[in-house]
Amino acid sequence: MDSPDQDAVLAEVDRFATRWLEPRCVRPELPLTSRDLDATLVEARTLGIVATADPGLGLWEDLDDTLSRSLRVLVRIARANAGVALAFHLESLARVLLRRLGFEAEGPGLAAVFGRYGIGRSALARFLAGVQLDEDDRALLLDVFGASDRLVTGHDGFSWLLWPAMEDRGTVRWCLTTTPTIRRHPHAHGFDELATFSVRPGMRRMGTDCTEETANRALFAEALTLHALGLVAIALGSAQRAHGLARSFAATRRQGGKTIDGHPAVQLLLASSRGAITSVEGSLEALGQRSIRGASIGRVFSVRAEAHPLLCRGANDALQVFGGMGYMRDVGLEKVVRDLNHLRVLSGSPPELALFVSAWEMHGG
Amino acid sequence: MADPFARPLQGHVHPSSVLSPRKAFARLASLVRPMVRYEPQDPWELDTSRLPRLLAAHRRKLRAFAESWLAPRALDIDVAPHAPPGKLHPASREVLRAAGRAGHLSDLLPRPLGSLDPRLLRFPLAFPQALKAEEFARVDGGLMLLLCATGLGVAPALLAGNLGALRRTVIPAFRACERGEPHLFAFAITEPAAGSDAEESHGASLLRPGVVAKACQGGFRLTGRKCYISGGDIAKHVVVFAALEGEGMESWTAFLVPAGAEGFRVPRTELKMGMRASGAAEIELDGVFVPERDVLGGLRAGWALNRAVLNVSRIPVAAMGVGFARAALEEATAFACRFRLGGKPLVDYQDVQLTLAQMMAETNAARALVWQAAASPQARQGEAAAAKFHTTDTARRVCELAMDLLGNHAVLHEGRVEKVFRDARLTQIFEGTNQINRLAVIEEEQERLLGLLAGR
Repeated sequence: MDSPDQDAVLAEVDRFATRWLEPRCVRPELPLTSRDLDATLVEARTLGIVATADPGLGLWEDLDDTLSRSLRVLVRIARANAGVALAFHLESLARVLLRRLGFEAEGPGLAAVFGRYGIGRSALARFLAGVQLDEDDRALLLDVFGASDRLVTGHDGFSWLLWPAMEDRGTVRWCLTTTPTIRRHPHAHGFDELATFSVRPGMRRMGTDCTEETANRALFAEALTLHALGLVAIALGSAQRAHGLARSFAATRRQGGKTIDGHPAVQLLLASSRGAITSVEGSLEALGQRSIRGASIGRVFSVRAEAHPLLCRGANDALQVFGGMGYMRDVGLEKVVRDLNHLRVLSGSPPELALFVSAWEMHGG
Repeated sequence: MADPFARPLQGHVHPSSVLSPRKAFARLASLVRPMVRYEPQDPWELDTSRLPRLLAAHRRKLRAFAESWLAPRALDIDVAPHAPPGKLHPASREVLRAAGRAGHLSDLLPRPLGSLDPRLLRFPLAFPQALKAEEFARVDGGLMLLLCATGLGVAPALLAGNLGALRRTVIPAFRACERGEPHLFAFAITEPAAGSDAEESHGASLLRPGVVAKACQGGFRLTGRKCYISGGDIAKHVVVFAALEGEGMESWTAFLVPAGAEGFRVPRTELKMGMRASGAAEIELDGVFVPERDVLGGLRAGWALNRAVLNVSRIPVAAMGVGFARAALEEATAFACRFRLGGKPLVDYQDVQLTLAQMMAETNAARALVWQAAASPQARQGEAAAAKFHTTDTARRVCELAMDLLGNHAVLHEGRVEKVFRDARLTQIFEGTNQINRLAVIEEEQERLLGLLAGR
């Protein structure tokens, strides 16, 4: 996409975030209702921010282009509300994958590209690198990406579920169902506006257009890469929000006879928060310069393994600037911390990502 | 079910192997054998066995209470709708009554004045309080705070040595608690414009106090606002720190204020990230009358009392951090043994073992620091503050390790670890932020540092 076109899309997203989303999120202690979220998704689909059945310029569409536009959109939306950004990301990812697979399904969908517990550790790296798997690897991948429950945090108003299923012979096949079994968990750490639920794929319909193993595996790697990038972008936007709030607060709050941004104790916290953001911004910017086909899953996972702990630290430091106020739900900082903790462990925790990265590098990925 | 001892953990030799220290140590000379140990021992039992006998027994009693009363109610209370000021969740009320009857709300004074076993007086008061904070926090941060914050409210009366207040108010309150009729106290220093300044001398020297006491016939009238007062909405007495009219923080004075006094109002409690069983109250004082006899420690003694209380109270707060770290460690350990991945328990994976070992080490180191500070006959500012910031920072770090270990399952409320994180996060903030506590360490070192500057 040309730069002027990209700028126009980003300006539209900015207007949406400023005029539609932020006014609905002014009270962090009152999460968006399911109805508000539905309405927000409808608006975003209409504006073309979220990918729909009609190809356009939504998130993760035009994968031949660089990834920077989608990443910037997610960062901007997450700055207003991380839960909405996650809902946009998951729905768009599902739609784009569906299209790539040549499947058809109506309404919004969900792609569960992650496993029962994380991402299958280093075995996934060996699988994606095409290395001969041993018994342990196969058992692990079957367990993680088999037919068992997958824990999802997202908007539960989806009509179909797409997921990569590992098969006994050590291959992956994409499946689609409109009748998954869902078990909702009543309380979760973050993302108050979304649902956290276990989903069991149940009866599955095999894909017809993309059953060739190499292609399935490549698409699996792309899906994992896009998902990881999306999560980092959302985390970055959330951390930026926390930093902005802390910076503003520190410029007005007085303690010790001056505004607190004059105290080194606070300056160090703000610098730590800023440093985390700057580091991840740089990494994400570099990753965004490539198209999905040029993106290395090892590099993306490596960035993600470092980015989440960094951003969690940054958000905690931002919260600390507020002192007791930061702990109160109406200020919004604690929600950012919870959302970032939540993102950190979804679809591969930092140690698991690190194991993947090490194996990926070992096998020349 | 297969015998779990039939095979070793992956990456280790079986304890029955000749290469295992368990087996190998048996070959050591009998004189040497007592010097080294390998036999597995429950970590809690091991720590408890290292305490003096009386404290060990006290720790056992506290754990039993926490297990039987706090644990079964913790998760439900945490997700209950936010209660209006003064309203307690029915389960919290049950816990409070039981805690009162068991003596956990009146243990700042020995029997017969309070409920503390008089034999425990041979130890610094902070020690049994630290044991209580750890055991209760390990089970539930909110209920722990509900039960422990009252001690903070009683402390100024004790440290002031105000026998009249003890006789008229504290001792009858303790007796009511032991009858199962909780009579709680709260400690009110924080003001909307003074968080850290109320806990640090340099900030206080520049602060214009918000709550002011105006002298009147027979006493004082207090006006102003306090905020974030733990248990302030259910306390029957609140120790309010106020400046004398026309004077600065050096005039701070502690007033024992009955919650039912005319002009005393609790307009709201905060909706918090965690520790939800305990309310953080805003308190409005509109000309509340306090008789002279309820001035604690005398006029202008408030700052000294405040700082003395913090010296003592930061040790139990540090212990809360240990309790949270332990909770996260225990949940992560249970999960690692229960959860199977790729046909084997998570604990078989070497990286998981490394994480658990790290969590154990950090938790044990934190406890050692707390127990060292708690054993000190005098509550030293630097020691208490260092223990507070170090252990509460540790608690968050250990919680994060636990969340990483649980992976996506960490986000579930039923897994408890996410709640432990939310509860633990407050301990980095209250009783002085950890930044203020670091400065408190240096404040105590000031004269030594000045000496070094002067070349002495």
